[in-house]
Amino acid sequence: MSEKRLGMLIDLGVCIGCNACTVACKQENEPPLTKFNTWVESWDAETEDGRVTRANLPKLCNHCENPACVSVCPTGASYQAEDGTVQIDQDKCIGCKYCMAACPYGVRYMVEESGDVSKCTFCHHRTTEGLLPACVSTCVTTSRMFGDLNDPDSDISKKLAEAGDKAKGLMEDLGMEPRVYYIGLDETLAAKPVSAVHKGGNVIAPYEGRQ
Amino acid sequence: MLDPTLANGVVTPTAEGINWVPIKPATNGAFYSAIAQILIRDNTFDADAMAFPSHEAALAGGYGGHTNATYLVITDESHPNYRKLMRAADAGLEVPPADPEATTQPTYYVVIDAATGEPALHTTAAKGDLFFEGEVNGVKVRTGFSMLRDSVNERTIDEYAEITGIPASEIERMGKEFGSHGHKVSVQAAAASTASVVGFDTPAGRELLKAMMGTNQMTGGSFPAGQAPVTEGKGACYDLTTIAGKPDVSNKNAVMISRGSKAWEKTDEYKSRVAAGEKDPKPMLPWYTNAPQSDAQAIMSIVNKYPYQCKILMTWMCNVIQATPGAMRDEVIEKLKDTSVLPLHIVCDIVVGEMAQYADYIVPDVTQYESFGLPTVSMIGGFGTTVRWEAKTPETTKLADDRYVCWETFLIDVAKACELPGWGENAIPDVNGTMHPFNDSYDYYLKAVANLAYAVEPVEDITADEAHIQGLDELPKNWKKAVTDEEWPKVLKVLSRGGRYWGMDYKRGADGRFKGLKAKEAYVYNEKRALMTNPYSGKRLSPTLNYNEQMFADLSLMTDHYSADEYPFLCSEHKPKFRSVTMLANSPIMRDIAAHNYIEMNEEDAAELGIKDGDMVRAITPRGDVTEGEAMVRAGQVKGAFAVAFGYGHINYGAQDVEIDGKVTKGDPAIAAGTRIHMMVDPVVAEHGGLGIIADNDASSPGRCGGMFKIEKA
Repeated sequence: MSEKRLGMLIDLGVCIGCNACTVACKQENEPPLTKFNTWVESWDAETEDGRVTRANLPKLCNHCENPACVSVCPTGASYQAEDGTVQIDQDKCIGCKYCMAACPYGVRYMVEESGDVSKCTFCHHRTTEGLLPACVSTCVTTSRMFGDLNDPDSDISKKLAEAGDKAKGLMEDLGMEPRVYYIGLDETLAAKPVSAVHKGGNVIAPYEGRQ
Repeated sequence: MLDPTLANGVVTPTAEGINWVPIKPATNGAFYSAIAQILIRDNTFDADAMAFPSHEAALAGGYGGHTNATYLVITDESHPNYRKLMRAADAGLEVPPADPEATTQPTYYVVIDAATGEPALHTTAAKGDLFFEGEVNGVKVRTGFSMLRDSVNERTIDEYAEITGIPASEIERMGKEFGSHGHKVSVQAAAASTASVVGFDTPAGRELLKAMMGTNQMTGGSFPAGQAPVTEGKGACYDLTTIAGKPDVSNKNAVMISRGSKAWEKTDEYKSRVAAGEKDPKPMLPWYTNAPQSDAQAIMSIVNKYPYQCKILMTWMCNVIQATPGAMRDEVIEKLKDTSVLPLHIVCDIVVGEMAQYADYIVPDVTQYESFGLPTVSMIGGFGTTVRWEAKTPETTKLADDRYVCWETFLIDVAKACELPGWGENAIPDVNGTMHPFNDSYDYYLKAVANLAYAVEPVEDITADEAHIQGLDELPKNWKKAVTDEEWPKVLKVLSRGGRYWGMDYKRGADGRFKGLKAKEAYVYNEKRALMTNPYSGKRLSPTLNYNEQMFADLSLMTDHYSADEYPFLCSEHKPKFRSVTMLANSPIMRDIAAHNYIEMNEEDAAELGIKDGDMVRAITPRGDVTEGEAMVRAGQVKGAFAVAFGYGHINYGAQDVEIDGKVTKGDPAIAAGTRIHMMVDPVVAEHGGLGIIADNDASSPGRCGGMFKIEKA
């Protein structure tokens, strides 16, 4: 295990679904049109007391500790960097899409022009220069927090320690040990969806009505 | 959070202590009336705060605001001052001798002094009697508060619940909670979903509730926001507002084209038509006795050539026809294109939107990254101002004198060509009276930055190192010449920090009040409204808060003209996340994140109409206006109304094919994607020969929300 382990913590209690992160990422990383390294899913969610709220769930590569995408990659293009993040060596990528099929989070996509697969890098080109990922530095409510999980004195480690059981990763039962944590994930997913799910402003799952 | 539509924001499944309460558009008056009724019924309002008749009395009582709740109102219909607040002379009370030095003399109102039970000047009583009804000096009077009690009790809580769509139990819960925190409560209300033909009820109700709990200028209550040092006025270094020889144009000697701040019966047209023998003449478009300026009304005046012809229209970075509900229609566009209606139309903008499309000249402007601005953000509680400055070289044409083409450059050169005062040489005075030139935008904005740098306590000079790190030692030479050598390093210091802000201690007094206390009166009885008569019907609106149903220009109810059974739906507009009001549809990133908007409908309404999420639907007004779009069926929308995010549904702005000199440039239909609300025009105005939007009869602002619609599958 390397000394450093980068990770992200997203406090859903203060994510207002403004999508500034989505825009900042688009400008910083220039993924092709229709592709996103990070995005926010939003939907109407009825809580136990019968009140309707608006759920926001930012998504991105989870930079797993035990990433399926890396184990299935036949060329070693997908790999874990020294800081623990999952990266893609575009020179080695043959565009076989195994990693896309293996990733349960759907964060990888094919760049049609180059035939390569791409995804969020945690802004590797920025973090190696001591900057925060673009999505984190632009977040208007500091919902997104980023740093070294191995350093107990980092802001993110302190906040994680404080959150305890409240901080969870997506689909933890799959055993990939995602390193993007969410505060309030259980409450968000427990609320009953009562609208379509939007990715930004586009529908990705239409509303079928109350089931 | 009361809103017809649940927006993305702080009401999430995990946020504690905040709820979304759906409310029908155009019913805010009913909600506020209900809360006021509960506060009065339960006697939980702050009777002390309401009874202070003057600023001095409120200050002495430990508060920051006073009201006219105890002022007596003349209710004798035969009295010449009927509906007016009683003056000292009406009551036979003596007033203090006039101050011979003062330019205006104070008005003395009459209250029943709570201590003596006798009539007194509002300036002498520590508190007035809130409930008095009787006679003073033989004149029948009652307090504004007693009238308020009647007007908010015109309907029961159950009736208010029916009107607003909010369950009575929920209204009761909110009323109880609002009355249970002393002065540490407040109300925020503004923006799109409150703008309707009865939109005035929103600020009226908001201010009433704030006053009823004594919250004004109190820490933890309705604490003043948005203060800043003087930057673009008479500042610490320069006076950027006084213009020697400025033409004297005001409401006193001129008429604003939007027909505001003028009673119809006071207009020259009314007088001349009466003099010509006409009995009870009516205007082509409404006049608004108490309204401020309105771009929406101005554009309707222009296309109607009423009350006078607009010879030159200049607009800057705005798209009035798209932003005015009901105005983006063929009849309006044809008039804007007709030079016999509008001889000259100049637009300055960074894009060619719907308004610019019909202009005679388009002056390119610069973006927010290429220009200056010192906006004081009204929602920020502190004291200070942000400085936006030219962070990148403008993309517009560079002129021979090194200036870039933009709004300011255009204004300066036109003003100089017209020899207007306040521009060119000897235009801007400093605090010592020395005059400075105004030849480019730096001459103005950097002086405003200097005012900020020297406000309260001057900032320190920037160090050479810091200036170098930030590239501030490489700024063009025409920046530095705008201020003195002494001011320059302080101006750079402010630029380097992006503005200047003081801590909250600067504003919060140790006594729990705003340090900068100024007289803050809340109207319980609105005398200006009491005396306003409608130009078409002569009818009047309530001077105390009540619920008003949607009305047309003569105050007749919309439902008297059209069937509510056939057109049961209201609408509301809200700000888009992925567009601005009129821009950003040209941005591929924004279109990628959100291709279009939706007609947002409540799930129960949709089920009743057989509409499914994703169906194309039409919302149709009684006058046949059609809004068509994709249905978003959701629980986060109030029942009985649909909602649309504005900024979509462009007809120009690059969406359309353009032919210039025989060469066709194809438009991008993706820019046109989505929909906008097609609001009906006012049928009463149409009867008088005008083309007018439905509007708030007080403020003249457009009826953006509400209306009458039926919805069907497309």
